[in-house]
Amino acid sequence: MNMNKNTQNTPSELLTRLLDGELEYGQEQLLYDKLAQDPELQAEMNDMIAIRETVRRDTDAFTPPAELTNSVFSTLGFVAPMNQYPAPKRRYLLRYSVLALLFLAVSTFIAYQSDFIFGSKIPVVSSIQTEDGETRNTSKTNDAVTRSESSDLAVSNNSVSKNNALTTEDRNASSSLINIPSEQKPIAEEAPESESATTVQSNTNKDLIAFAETNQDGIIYNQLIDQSNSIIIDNPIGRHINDKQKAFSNSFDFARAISNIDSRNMQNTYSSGKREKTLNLRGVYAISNDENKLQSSIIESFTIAAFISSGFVENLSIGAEFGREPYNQIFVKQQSAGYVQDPSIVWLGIGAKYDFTEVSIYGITPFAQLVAGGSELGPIGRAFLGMSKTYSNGIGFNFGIESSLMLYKNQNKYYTSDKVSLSGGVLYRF
Amino acid sequence: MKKKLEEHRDSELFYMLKGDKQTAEKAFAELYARLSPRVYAYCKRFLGNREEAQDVFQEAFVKFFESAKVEREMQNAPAFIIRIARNLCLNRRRKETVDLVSFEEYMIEDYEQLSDKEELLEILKAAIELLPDEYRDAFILREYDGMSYQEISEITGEKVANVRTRIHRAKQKVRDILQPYLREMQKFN
Repeated sequence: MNMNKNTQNTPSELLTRLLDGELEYGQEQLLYDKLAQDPELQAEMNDMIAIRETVRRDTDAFTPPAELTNSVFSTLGFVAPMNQYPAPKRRYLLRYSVLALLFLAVSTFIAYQSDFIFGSKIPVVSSIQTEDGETRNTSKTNDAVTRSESSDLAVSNNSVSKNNALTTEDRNASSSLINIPSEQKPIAEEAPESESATTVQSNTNKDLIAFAETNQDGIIYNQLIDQSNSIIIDNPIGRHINDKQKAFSNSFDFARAISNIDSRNMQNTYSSGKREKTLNLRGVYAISNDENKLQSSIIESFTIAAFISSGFVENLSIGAEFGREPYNQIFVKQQSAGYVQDPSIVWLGIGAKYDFTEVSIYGITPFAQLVAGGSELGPIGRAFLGMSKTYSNGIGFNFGIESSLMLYKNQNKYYTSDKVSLSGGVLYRF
Repeated sequence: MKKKLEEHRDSELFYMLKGDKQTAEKAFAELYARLSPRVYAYCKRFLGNREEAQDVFQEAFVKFFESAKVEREMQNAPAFIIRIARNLCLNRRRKETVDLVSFEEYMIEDYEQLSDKEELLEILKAAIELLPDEYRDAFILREYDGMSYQEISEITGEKVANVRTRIHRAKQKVRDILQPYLREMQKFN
């Protein structure tokens, strides 16, 4: 083959054709032989390969912006293509499964650990002696006349265990016995004479101990005694044998002031105050940007958020929030020859909520909530200002305005996507 | 069994553009997904200006869709739309007055913050813009759109031999501009 410079068969031209896949079969071997001998030709080939690799990295040239695609389709009267590439069903299944598992894990943790960590609100009363001399366990179930075959509340005759508040010994025992020391007898003697044994549950609260006894008339006296052996509450709760409701209500009121006698948890919530937990489920609808137009259904454009919090200090609660919602973004996922926009993302964060109870009006309380966390694409921050109202049964509602900001990266560039939304939902305090 | 949209050839999808709105919309979306990267790359690299490239890009696809009502057959949809885009780009260029500057004056950006590869890419973009139109045209169609010499010949209306020459000379010019940077990178690799 003639490699005359005056033709189109110079080594350099052949090399160009070789790299473009346009070299004829008969010319290949000649070029290979030339390449093997000519370092300058080898260098040229390396440069051409490097240029081609650089072109491959020019992804910006191959990606039409989302707004341009929208413009093309809307000009033709069509819907934007990102709506025609819904997320695979299995991705939705995975997302909802993860959310459901997370919700179950968090709620389980709160439900089973709250007693241990925050103290139980379950009010209890001591066992009581009935008229027929039978001792019954009145604890745990808030039932004043619950019979328990295997009660962990043993009957004791005016005895106080070493782990109660009136002694200087260890207070952390799970024993349910309290032996009232002899010096306590004047207190007991001040009460109506009792023929029956009295048992109370000890508690590890260092300040208070519950004491109850029944006199011969069947009247139960409940007493709350502090360390100085002073009676804080001396409350006759009346006949209880057949008056379950009366006994229950009276004992319930009293029980709110005494410690939890759960054999597993001996903390006293009387002096420690309540740590309220709140679950808030709400929807969020964006009003600031137009990603709603990009979604094919209301479901796609609707946000669901769940905030689980626990009281930290007065008016301030700390919790976790998670949800899913669409954010306006450039193409992020590659599909066929181009990129498509992800319809929605999942996010999770830690938050704090402050209730401005001091400016509450008709029970409607302003609040501010901040959440910081992460999403599938990057970090996310949220701020929620609104009003809430909770009824006596613990159920309530809230509504307000929310602003959020997401940071994400695409093709080596960082972007922010923000939105302002209306939000509202239901909440449950427990 | 009914074929999935992505299993259809370009010519079949082009024919479906004549159908009802729903069919045409789906067919157009599939064609757009296949062709838009190449068309956008051509417009962007040929014109250099982002806004102009987007205008031409949109106009090219609108003309492409409208041509479906007129054209009976379509053998090579990518070449067809690239031809549309090319003509629009050339018309746009003819309307502009281009101020010629030297390469050194052109390279005024600060590339200190970029990696070597990113810097090389920026220089490549600049080098392409400095090519004469016919060389730039051939280089983009070959390197960005992956067209064969025959296809480029059909799009440009030039003989294959001329296409070969233009591509070779375009690559040589780009190489001449990038060579110092390529040598620098090879030293440190």
